[in-house]
Amino acid sequence: MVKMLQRVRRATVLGVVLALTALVVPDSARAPVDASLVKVETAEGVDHPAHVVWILCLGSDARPGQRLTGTRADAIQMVGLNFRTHAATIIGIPRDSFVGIPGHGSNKINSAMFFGGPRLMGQAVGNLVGIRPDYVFTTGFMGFRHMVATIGGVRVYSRFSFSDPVRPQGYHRGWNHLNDFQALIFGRVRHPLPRGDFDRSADQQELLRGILRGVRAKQNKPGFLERGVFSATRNLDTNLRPSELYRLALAVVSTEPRKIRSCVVQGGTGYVGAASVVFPNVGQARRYGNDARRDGTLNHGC
Amino acid sequence: MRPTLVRTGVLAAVLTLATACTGGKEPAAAPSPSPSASTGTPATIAAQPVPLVVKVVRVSGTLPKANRAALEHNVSSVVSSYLQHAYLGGSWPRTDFSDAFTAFTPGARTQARRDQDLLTNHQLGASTQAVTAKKTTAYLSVLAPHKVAAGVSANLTLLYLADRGDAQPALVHVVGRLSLARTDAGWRIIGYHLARSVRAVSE
Repeated sequence: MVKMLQRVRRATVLGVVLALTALVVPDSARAPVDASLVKVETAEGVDHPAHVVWILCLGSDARPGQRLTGTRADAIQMVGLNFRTHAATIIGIPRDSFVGIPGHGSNKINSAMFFGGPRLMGQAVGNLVGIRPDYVFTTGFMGFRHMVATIGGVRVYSRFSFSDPVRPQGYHRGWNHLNDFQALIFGRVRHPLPRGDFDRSADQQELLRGILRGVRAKQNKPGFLERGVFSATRNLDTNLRPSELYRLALAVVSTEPRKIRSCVVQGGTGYVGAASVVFPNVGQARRYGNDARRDGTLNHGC
Repeated sequence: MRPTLVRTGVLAAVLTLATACTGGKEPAAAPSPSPSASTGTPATIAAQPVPLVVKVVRVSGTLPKANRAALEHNVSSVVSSYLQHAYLGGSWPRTDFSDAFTAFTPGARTQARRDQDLLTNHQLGASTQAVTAKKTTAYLSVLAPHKVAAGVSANLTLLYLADRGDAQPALVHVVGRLSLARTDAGWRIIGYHLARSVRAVSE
C-alpha cells in the first residue's frame, strides 16, 4: 500500500512537471529549447577546530530591565553538533528538574542561572547529563523574537492543537508557520499540553529545528551570515573573537535538520515544600549523555 | 593594471586562465598540443578566457577602502587558485585532482576530498578535452566588526564548457558560497556550500 502511494506520488510529481513543461515549452519542433530540467547536486563542509561541540542553549525569563544571565532559565536544551557528519543531538531538560546545584544544595535546575550565571548553569546541566558544554548560549524573549523575525518567522510541527490569543487561528496539529511572537508562545506554553513541562521541552526542540531550517534556507543569501554574526558581536555577551564566532556560526549552519535527533529527559513530578518539581530520571539523562558525548549523535534513540 | 581595477573596486584576475582554458581551442595559427588537437577534433567552441571578477559588495561592519582593495586581491588569489586546480586549469583529459584543494585549510581539505565529484571537474575529467570558462565571479560579503575582515563569504558563480571530443560538450554551472578566514598561512577557504549542475549542449 505504501509503495503504491509512493508510486502514485511520484507519478503525480512527474505529471506536474510534464504539465508545467507543456505550458512553458513552445509547441514547435523548430523552436530552440528554452526550458530544461537539470539535476543539481550540492556539497557542503566547514573546518572547525573541534569536530564535536556541545552548546547549552538557554532561554532566560528575564523581564525588561533584568540581567539576562542573572535570572532563571526557562528553556534548557543541551545541543551536540558533529561538524563532520552534520548530525546533531538535542537533550531537553525540564526546567523544574530538582538537582544538585554545586555550592547551593539542591534546587530547581534553572535556579543555577540565578545563583551563578551561565558557568554554574553549565555545571549543573553537565552534572546531570554527564557532558560539560563547550559554550553556553543564552537568549531572552526579545533576542529570541529578533532571531525568528530575521528569518521571516519559523515553520514548526506541532504535535498538539491548542489555542492562544496571539494566534487567532490557533496552533494546529501539523505544520504551522509562526511569527516571532507566536514562536515565543509556542516555546513557553505548557498547560494545554498533555505532559506539560516535558512536551514544552520537546516543542522548544522543534523550534530549534525550525530556526535552523530557516537559517539554512537563507545561508546563501549574500551577506546573510555576515550580518547575523555582526549582530551577534554587537548584541551577544560573548568572549569569542569575531573570527571564532564566524567559524562557529558556519559550523552550526552546516548541521542538517534531518540528522537531528532529540530526546527530553523524563521524570516524576512531585513537591519539595510548596514547590512543584520534576524528579529527573538521572539514569536516562546519563544514558543520553554517554550515547552522544563523543560523536554528538544519539545512536540509540530515546 | 591592478591599481586601476582596485580603484574601481573590482579585481579582475586573468592569471593563468588564458593558458589553462584553451586546450584544443587555440586559433589554427597557434595549434595547441592538447589531446583534442592531436586527435583532430574540430574546434567548435570559441575559446574566450574570461577574467575572474572578485568584488566586495557587502560589508557587515566597517572596512576602510585600502583594506577592501587588499582583501579583494588576497581573496582573488585564493579563489583563483582553487578554480584553476579544480575546474579550469591543467591538461586534459585527467582524473587526478589531488592538488585541487591547496587553497583550503587542512580540515576543509579533508572534507572537500570526499566531495571532489562536485568540487572539481572529476566526473567529466576523463572525457574532457578542453575547458573554456564562460563566467567566473566571486562577490564578497565581509564580516568586519573592527575595521578588519574577520570572515568572508564569496558568492561564487562558475560557468564553463567542457569540450569532450566526440561526445556532446557539457555546460557546467557551479554556484554557491565559499567561506574564507585568515589563517597563519594567509586567507584560506574554511568551508563551502556549492551546487553543481551539468547539461549537455549542442555544438
